[in-house]
Amino acid sequence: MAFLQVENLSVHLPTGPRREIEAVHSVSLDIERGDRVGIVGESGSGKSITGRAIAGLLPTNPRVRVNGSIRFGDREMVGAPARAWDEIRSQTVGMIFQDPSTFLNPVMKVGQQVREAIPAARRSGRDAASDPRVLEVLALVGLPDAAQVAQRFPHELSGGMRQRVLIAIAIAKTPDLIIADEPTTALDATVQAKVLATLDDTVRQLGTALILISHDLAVVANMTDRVYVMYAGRVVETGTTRQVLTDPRHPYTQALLRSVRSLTDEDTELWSIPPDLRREIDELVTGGVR
Amino acid sequence: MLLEVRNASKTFRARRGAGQVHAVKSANLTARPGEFVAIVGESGSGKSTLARILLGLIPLSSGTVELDGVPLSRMTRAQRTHYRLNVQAVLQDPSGSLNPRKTVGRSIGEIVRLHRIAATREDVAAKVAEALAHVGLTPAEHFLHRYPHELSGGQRQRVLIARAIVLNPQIIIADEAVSALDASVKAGVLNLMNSLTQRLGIGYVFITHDLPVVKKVAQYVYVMKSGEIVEEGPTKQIFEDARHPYTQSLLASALSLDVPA
Repeated sequence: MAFLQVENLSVHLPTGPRREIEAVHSVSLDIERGDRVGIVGESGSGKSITGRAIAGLLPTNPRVRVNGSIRFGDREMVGAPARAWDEIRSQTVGMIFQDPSTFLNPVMKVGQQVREAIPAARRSGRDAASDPRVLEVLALVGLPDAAQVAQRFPHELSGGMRQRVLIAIAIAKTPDLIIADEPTTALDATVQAKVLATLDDTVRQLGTALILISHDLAVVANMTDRVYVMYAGRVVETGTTRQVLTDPRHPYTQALLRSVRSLTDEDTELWSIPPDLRREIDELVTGGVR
Repeated sequence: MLLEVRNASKTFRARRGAGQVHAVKSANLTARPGEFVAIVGESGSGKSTLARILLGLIPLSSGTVELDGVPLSRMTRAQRTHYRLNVQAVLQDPSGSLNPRKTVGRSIGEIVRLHRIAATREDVAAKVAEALAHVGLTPAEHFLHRYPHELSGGQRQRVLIARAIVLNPQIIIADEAVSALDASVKAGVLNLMNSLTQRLGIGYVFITHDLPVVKKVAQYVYVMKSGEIVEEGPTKQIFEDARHPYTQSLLASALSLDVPA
């Protein structure tokens, strides 16, 4: 049985008093234990909403509708009560977001925030600073002098360090799956490289499965074995990362790669997807209905 | 026309205590029409402060900003207007730079009126339509009455560029102007910026942390670290023969699309 199986997932989000959009349309994904999978797409392609749906973190608005199936093992989560989702998030799934400053509590010391993510049975010591498990995960994500860092508030850390703290919080409960949504987009290139290496090492050491959501194909190329390409809420192509990046089949993936390569390759002219091709892709992907 | 920063420093008071933050330390930089100059560096390196210095938006602690040899601080009213017209800004976050309650037509039109580029309603409308056509937002009627939230990110960025070029500037200071855009849109906006150089002779000071883009479009590069310009030179030289260890580490950390074996 697959560790995580998503079948025909659709998500409707309200956009106005009487309007809604189908942000995700009939998406299916299979994740095995230890898999490293990328979801790529442009802004608005539905990749983040897919990730949030898998973690049960969509807005709690009665007009947000989720259809299809999200199964962890044999446990069906679509329509499951909030308590079941709490359990999944406290044990099975850890999530890392783009912006650590909105995720971290500004008035709580970092060590305490890591400690809260550790299941109560595995905590020890009087407080965060003396809990060996807290220090262990902080050290695991490459923070030097973990005992010191544990005593700091988020604003006293740099962006890269805060992002490492987020990774530490995500792994503190030793989850089976980490969903990282644009984990390094807000970071500088040199810091990005280090944080990605940390994330890479950590999931490898713990055997954690990784879903990496990003608009940056280079990040996905370096971190994943398989990739799903999303457009207009749909998965338009999937395959090994190498195959999709070197020999894309879908016209959208081909166009996306061409524009990405035109930004980096020296001898090609800058190329953006022309409007008529975009209309063709829209037509092909959505059948003209959006 | 020549825009120069000479020996410019900017010191801010630290938020707490009596300490000082040296955001920019004795920087020298030159920009001219038709030339694509890039400032690269990581967050906190002072590159955005340098951009604001070039735009005359913050007073200097020492040094000067000069347009054709005339320091900003000693400009006459007429010279200052000339500078304001010719050096324009395009900033990173288009949603933060556009008034959400004003349509595209109004956002651009009121600048045309303010700078007395055109007076009558028809002339203003024609100017606005021309600027929108330059950035590929055609037909103009399609966009004139839209509000910023009714546009995509790439379209908003084009509106900002239209608003900058409607005054026929010679130099545009672009601070992370394409960083937030998707690859295809980014390529489109960069293409547009290039074509404006060819058609209108506009020069750019392009501030970014995106090295591949710099390699692709810039002719001359300044590398900033901790408020100082640590290296400068023609793009080819910087990318092929970087001298400063910081530039080397920046170049080394860029990820490539190639899947590691």
